[in-house]
Amino acid sequence: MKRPVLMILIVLLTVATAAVVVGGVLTIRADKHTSSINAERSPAIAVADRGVEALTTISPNNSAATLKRLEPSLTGDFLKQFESMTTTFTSVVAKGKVTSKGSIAASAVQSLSATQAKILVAATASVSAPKHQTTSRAYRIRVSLRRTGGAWRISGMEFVS
Amino acid sequence: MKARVLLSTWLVVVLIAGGAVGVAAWRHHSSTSEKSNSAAALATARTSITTLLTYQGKDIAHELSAEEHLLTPEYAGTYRDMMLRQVAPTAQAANASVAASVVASGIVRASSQSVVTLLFVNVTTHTAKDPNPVTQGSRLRVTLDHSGKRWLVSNVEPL
Repeated sequence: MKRPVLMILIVLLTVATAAVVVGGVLTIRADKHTSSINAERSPAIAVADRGVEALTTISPNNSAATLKRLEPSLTGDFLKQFESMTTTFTSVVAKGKVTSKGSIAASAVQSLSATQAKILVAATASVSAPKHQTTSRAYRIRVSLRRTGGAWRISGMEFVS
Repeated sequence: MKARVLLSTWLVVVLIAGGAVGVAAWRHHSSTSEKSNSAAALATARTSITTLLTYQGKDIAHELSAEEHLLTPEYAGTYRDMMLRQVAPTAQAANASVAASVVASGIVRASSQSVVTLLFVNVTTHTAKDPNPVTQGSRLRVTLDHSGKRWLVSNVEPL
């Protein structure tokens, strides 16, 4: 009498364990998805901030170098556009002797998945050129990012109007 | 005896698995609720700021009183003072009709009790004198505090 009861208990516990493990794995997988979203929040923001700061900080002497340094953080069509524009941009900046010092006032996550992000950046730049008064410019920028090869890269940038 | 050993082993396995599931489920629950929490706060930020920054110059004091429930009691006074001192005189003199719209919004940081948002807001002003409305873009850092089941604006900071 004792043994059958034990056997039934063992069978029940086996079934229960299997259910618990399957449930656990499913929950953990779902959990991994959402917690990775939270964990990935700041790296995407950091890349967006660096990109905006680099593009709003220019000077006649070092704009080419600054832009070159930014290239590894860019991807897709945005990288292509960027590469084709760099030379023109650099020569315009050099001719106009324009200096701009950009800084990030605030940045925020508009949307975020495991592979894509949209970050809003409020940037402020102090712009000066010879014979012109230094002016402060406020920018509202939306940065699109894609996660490729474990790193966030900028795939687009637009002014929010 | 053998069965008893087996049973105890299973019990231990079940307990460990159960514990793991508990922890995973709790983490899952807290991260999901954190997400929906910030989404709710962001939605409130958008509607509250749209309401607060949309007003008729001549009715501004009255509108401020009617909209006080969108703000924390601590911030309501500060906000009212700021609007009455810095905004109302010009808005009333020009008989301005001001309409705000939030064109983009995001989360700066979030906890269960407080969420900081960034809003890009376009404010369009019609005045009696000028037939052409003027639209200005602004950037606001808006903080919301959780109070009961609602999110209330506890700070508005133009950037």
